[in-house]
Amino acid sequence: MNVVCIFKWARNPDDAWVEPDGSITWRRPKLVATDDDAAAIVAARELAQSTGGTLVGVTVGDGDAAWAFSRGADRVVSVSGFTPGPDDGEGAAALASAVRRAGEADVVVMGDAVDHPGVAGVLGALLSMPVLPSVDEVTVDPTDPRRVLVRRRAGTIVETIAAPSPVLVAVAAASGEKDPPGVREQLAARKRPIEMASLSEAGAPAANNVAVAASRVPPTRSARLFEGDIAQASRELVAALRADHVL
Amino acid sequence: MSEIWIIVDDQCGVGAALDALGVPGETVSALVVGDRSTAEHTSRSVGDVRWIDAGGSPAEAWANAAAALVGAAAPPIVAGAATPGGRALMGAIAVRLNTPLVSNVLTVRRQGDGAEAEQSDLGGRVILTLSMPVPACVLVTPADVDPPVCDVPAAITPVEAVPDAIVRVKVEPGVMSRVTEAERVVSVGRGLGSREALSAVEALAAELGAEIGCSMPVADELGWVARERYVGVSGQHISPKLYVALGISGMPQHLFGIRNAQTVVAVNSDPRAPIFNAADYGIVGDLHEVVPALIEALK
Repeated sequence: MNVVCIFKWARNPDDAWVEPDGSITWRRPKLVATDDDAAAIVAARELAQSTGGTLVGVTVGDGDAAWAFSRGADRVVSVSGFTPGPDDGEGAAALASAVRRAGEADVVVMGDAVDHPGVAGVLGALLSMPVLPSVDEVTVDPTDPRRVLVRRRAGTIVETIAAPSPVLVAVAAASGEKDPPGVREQLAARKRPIEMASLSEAGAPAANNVAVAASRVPPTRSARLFEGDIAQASRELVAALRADHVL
Repeated sequence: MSEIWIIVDDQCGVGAALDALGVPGETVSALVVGDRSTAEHTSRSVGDVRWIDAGGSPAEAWANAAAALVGAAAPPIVAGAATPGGRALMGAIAVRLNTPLVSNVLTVRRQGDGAEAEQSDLGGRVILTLSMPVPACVLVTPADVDPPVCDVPAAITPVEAVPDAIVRVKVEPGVMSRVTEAERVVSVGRGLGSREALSAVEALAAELGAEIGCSMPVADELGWVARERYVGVSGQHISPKLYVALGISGMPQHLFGIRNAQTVVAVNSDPRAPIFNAADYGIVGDLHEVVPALIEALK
């Protein structure tokens, strides 16, 4: 199977500074890899290797291609000029233009970002592929090499779903990245060529005109703090919880 | 047919979508992709229901069919909950209608010739007010919100549709996480310090009739608590009546999992820990001293 893995397509929310008036400053505007990206490329690499296929990494913005090369990508396609915004459809359109430049894909794998839940669904529709989000595992169907099996938790059950390729799978990380590549692998990855294009060269459509009119800090809970002697503070806390009918 | 549609593949999506729309349910049309009980649940809260019987197929199999149906009606606003199936359905609908798809929406309203939405961004740290053209599609966070009930249940109209070749081949019982349904949860973070310190926390939980939860590092890196008890963005999303956070700093990823908790109590030795901004009550102190003191105070 020819597998495309999307990586570094969103910013880290922790890199944003929110002022008291709600305005946002990005301390590091770069797109970053998340634990979901790491889980996605592991799944993508295993799919490609198990079928003797290829793995192409795809990123947008100014994503660092070495991240994918050091994790097993055979090629990396990068489409520059994209800045994430409030419209997941716009993000999906940029990714679709990048995926198309990667060539024919049997499976597209991406990290399932909770901050952008709409991207996977729109991306699949733009690529004319069925979409399977919130996936824990993805493998090739042993009874049919043109089908994938995905496994995911759904409430109190675990379901296994089969879908024919081409298909888009969004993988949710179950933990932080295990066994990241070492320094030597990362340095070697930096020397490998990247296939680059701009958004316009890649044929990404114009934006959908979703504009940010205002931003504000949500109301926070004002914690009633009990300080000083720990025993006294604990008694006061319990008394308050009982008085407020929490206990 | 209404100008506003909701897309439902799970009962948890009805209340959340209607809450965001803020309009009487009678003015809303629904497309349900699921079983009869989901259609009937939805019909109690909206004015009109079109129902695709999903049979044994996951909702994702019906994305193209849903897009065709909604595309033909072309409503100005379409809202759906961000369940796995809902995300696939809404993505296909947004592409068919050639609209934006805005996620994490708290509210959405018609505004003049367009629409205005409030979006929770940066893990809940900021609320953006967005202006957008119509038609517009929005995703809301699934939540345990009871939808208002209309005076008369809506008629349910079955829709013939052909699914894509996606099939559910196996269903197994998952590992039950008792924190999911618990009314009270006591959670620990890195501040716990050691696995051995958990016994005191378990005694506090027993005194409160609470289940034990934890932050991601405690389950993933440290392995002090079972993984199915991890509360956070990629773990359990819980809505207990009481949540006690011990030695948890309050990172957005963790707070995402408790955003529906009714009352939050935080214990942390750092008075600047972000958890205090998300708590109703707090003690600044060493949890190893606070926990025994709380147990004594509860007796």
